[in-house]
Amino acid sequence: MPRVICDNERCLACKACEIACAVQHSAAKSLAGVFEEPPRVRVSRLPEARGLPLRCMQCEEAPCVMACMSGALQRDAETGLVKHDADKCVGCWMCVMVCPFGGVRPLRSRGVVTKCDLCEGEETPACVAACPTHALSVDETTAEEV
Amino acid sequence: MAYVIIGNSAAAVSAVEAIRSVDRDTPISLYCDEQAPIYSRCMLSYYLAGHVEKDDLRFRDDGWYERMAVEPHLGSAVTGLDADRKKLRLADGSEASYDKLLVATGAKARSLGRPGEELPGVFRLRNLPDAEGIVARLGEANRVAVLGGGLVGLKAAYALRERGMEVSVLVRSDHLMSQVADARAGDLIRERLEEKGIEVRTGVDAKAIAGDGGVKAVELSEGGAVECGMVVVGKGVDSNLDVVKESGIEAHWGIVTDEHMQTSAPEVYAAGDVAETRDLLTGERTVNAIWPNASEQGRVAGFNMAGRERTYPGSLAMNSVDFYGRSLMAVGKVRKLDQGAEEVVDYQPERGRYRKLVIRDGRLIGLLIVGSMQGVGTALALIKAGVPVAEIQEVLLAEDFDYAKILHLVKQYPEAFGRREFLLTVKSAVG
Repeated sequence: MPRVICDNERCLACKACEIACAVQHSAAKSLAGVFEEPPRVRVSRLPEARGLPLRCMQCEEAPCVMACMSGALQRDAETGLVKHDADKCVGCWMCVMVCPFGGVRPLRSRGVVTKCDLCEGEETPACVAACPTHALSVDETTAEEV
Repeated sequence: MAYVIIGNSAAAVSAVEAIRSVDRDTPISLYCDEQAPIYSRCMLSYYLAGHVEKDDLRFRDDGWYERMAVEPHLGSAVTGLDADRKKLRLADGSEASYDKLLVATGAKARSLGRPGEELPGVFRLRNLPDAEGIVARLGEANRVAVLGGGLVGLKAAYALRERGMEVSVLVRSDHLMSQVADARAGDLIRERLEEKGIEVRTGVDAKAIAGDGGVKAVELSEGGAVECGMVVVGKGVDSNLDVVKESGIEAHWGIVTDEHMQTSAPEVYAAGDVAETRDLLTGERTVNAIWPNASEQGRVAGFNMAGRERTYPGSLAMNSVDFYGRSLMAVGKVRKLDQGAEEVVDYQPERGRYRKLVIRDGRLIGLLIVGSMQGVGTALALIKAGVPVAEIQEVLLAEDFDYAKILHLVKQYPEAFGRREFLLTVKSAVG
């Protein structure tokens, strides 16, 4: 399963990934997007100017999919990705309750959650492309190979 | 070789998807007493509120049965099973054979056990017909009494308030949500419901429902009555054990299952609200009748039925509700303080914030929050895995708690984040 991974020794908590994510998922794909579209990755600041971008790990045994009672979160049979359909989401926050990584973000104002879609259709996810220290990358290792 | 599933909700769907992920070919038949295609019971209150349409209740689309190569027998109730002959008895008198069977018959709403319960206008909120019945009667009553201050009762109260009704919630306990939360959390939810015009009366008991051809009032044991044209009963659920009643399969609160979700009969599995499992925290046998447990149990059962061994670690009480933007989440043991357990609390009612950790033997066994949900999922993983948390109590209680704040622990206890997948995360996250 592809997923965005982070070498957190390199993360300086600059939040470039957050901005790139918001822009990518905004309607106009412009910088104004940061005001309209909340990023699906959230950088948690750590001491000494470090951080870790919290994001969906596309878990193989995804607790969010098992907790989703509306069918908004389902595994895509072809890509294997955990997909979220905002039209089906009712904001019950069960997925938020069970995600170990803080990878599903509640958007209270819209009454739905949002999560990483790996910028489907793009060659490289926007956060990975934007990371100035190359802390973020796409990993395709399967669990069996770990 | 044929799989048979009895049930059509979370556990059943999850089991089918697990089976089909490893076995595309063996026939699967699915029986359910209800006519409706797959729908989500947990969504019924959203339908009742008018927030979603009936079609939106479907948590799997119309093509699902076909894609999963499942033969659905909807509206076909299974009335009994003969585990020796591996046969099911159907309502129409015929029989069906199975090689591997999953009983996922769910649970039914408990009755009130008081006079007047059969009057027109008295409802439960468990099945689609229940919700449709309430919707059909919306124009005929202005006032509704909701009996029970648990999850279903409150969701019904919220939904009917959204429909513009005058709502009174009558609760026997001294606070709301007494089965899943404590008084502080229950009162914070109560405050929000009352702000929105829902009347809440605690410590009162319904003696009878009065009426003549329709509901007129709920009479209280303490004297007095609450006038209303509709009653919704939310008094919890009991497992649907009818199918196994005379089968010899062991059942108490629910059908007794082992760590493979197998029952006392060979090749018969059970999952979901009908299954009795070991509670992860107490080790006691119980029915933790909630959606995520049902899905996980169904998945484990499905894999085992398909010959891929999986073990179920045990069930965990967990709930999430949100009323008017105020969230409550309760995980593990948060109601009463066990002997030897201690509470660590951040209680700021004026901000609508409450966070309580329950710790026993240096391990987190409960988490209760109202307000910010941040970090709850990470804490839940710590509860499930029994990670020592003595050193991170303050971190866990802090407003900015999240996964990143405990990377050192994740590194120390990679198994804490359990499944194989999490090991990968740890490697990448900690590097």
